[in-house]
Amino acid sequence: VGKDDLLPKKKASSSAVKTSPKPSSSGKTSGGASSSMRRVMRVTRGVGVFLGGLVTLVGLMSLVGIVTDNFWVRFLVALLVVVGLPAFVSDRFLKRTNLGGGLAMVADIFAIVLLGIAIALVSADFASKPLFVREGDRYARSGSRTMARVAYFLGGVSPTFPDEKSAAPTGSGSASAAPSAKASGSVRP
Amino acid sequence: MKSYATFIVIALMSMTLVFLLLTREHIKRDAPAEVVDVGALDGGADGASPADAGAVATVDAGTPPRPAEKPLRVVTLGWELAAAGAAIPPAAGGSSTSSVELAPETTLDAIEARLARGGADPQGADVAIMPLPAFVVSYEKLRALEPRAFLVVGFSHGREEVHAAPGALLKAPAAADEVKLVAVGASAAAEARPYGSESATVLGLFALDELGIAPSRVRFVDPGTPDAKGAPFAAIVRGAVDERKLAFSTADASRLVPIVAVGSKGLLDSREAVVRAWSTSWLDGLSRAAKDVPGIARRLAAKEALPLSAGVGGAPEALVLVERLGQIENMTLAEQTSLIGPLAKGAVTLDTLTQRTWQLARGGGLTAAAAPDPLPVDARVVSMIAPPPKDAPRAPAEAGDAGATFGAVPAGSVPLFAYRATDGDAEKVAGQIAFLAGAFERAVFKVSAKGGEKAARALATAAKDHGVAAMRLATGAAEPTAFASVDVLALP
Repeated sequence: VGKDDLLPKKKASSSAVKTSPKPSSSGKTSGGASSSMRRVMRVTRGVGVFLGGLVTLVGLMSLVGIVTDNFWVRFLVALLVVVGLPAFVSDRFLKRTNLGGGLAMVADIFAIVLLGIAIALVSADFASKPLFVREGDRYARSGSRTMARVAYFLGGVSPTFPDEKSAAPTGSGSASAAPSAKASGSVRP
Repeated sequence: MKSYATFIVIALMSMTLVFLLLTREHIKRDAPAEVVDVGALDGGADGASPADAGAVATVDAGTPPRPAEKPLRVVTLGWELAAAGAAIPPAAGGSSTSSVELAPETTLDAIEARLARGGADPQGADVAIMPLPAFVVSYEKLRALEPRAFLVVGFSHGREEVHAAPGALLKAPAAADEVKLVAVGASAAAEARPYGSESATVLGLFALDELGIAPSRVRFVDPGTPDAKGAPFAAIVRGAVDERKLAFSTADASRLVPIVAVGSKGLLDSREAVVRAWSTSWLDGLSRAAKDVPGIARRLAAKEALPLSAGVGGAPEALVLVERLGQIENMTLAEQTSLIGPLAKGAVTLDTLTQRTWQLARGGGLTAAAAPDPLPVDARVVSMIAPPPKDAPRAPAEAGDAGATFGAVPAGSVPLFAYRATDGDAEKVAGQIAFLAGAFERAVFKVSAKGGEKAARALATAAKDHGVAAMRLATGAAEPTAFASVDVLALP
């Protein structure tokens, strides 16, 4: 029996819990994921939260836009839902399942909830498309061209802004035009 | 293991979302232009008169526009009429006025389409700026909207011309069934339309009506057709070449074709304060545009920094716009009450011009609808924002007119056309001379009457009593075949 075997087991295990898991020589954590894999998972989680959050935020803003054109009202109401709903789901989920996982699990739930709403919004384009397009119109009128492009993209529209249109040459053949033509006899082009 | 599961779910969902977004079909669409706030109420009018300031204060004191108002969409017949909107500076800070979107159009059909869509539609319009004859012609189609002219933004000044065979507008017409006029009528072919306009046609009908040819006797001949060659008269837009000699244009008839702002009754009822603020800004924009014509023309031509609506087409070149801007005489706020409303007492007001235009358009078949009663002119905006007209002294009280004699025709004056009165109502003739004096601001009038010099002097005196300056009246001894004949002469 070695000397180490004589040490109290409980203490040893509790100290092991307290110390943070250190990667082994092969780069694996105590959970089994390598550090590079953990990085990929973190990036994926971030992309999910960002992508889902953006689409959901714009979608909810366009939904609130049915009621009001005010930017701040639209933004704050949409932000409240984008943050509040996944937070509520995380809270309920963690309490009921006892899965643990800490902040990483909360971020995962945020990403899944937001991506779920985003996919639902984009899939139901018969209903969401007019909302996104109208949202794009609001941004275009307010001069926020980047956000307008985002909203139009989500609505499946390729926008042409007024200054991007090519100007026609001279006189547009209108009632107010001043053509150079003969009013009698033959018309000069 | 659970972290792997959530990772896979998130990755799959992200890829699904990206796939859905990238593989959907993207349709093309015109985005609305950036909306620039109207800076009317922030003291933007340089050198605004105290009366103007008072008017603005009245707007402020009235019912203020609601925050986050929808933009006021303005459609104009021609790019040159949008110059005022381009000259309105963006509001500095928060303005209590609404914002403006501009939609210059080149056909009356497009104007009607935008008004029909309404201001709530990005491709619609709340207000239209167009010449009065165009408004009269389009009224029938837009009747359900109850459109009203509520502001005179200018007068046409040389955009329309009347051409005639030598002396044809000065002598009594032959008693023929119909008289040919080369002009764009209601059923003109599409290729003929660029050579005329509603305003030009009404100007031609006016000249013939004065000569004693009722509009119902006029047969329109499309410009460019073989028939056009033999017609004695033509009413066309400036720039269209015509073999007949130029008789006169709206540069002579400088108060005959007003350019008006038109809005629906619903708009004036529901957003009156906004329309008032817009009217003040627009008139201010007209004076700003006049100070920087090259800059405005360049911006319009390049569609640069303009609050354009969705679906606006291409603009003409800057040179064309500069020429067209010179063919409009702008109106000021101070001149509004002399044209619209109960204080407008002159011979030429928006009411009299509307009545006359309607009569000519109806007779000529440009519109099938009779003039509504009351006329579609709304004075409520002008009466709130514009100062009362300056009291012009009546002709009899004018200095130098007391005991004035009606002299001979000024040397070098050019006859434009003749007004021939067939019925023997001296008061009516005098009223018509007063109307002509108001419409042709710089013309003089040679009055001849059956009965010779004495009868002509009696008519001239009656015209003087109607407010025509004695120095603009001359009498002739020759006896016309009609009850009276008045030659309208342009001074050299």
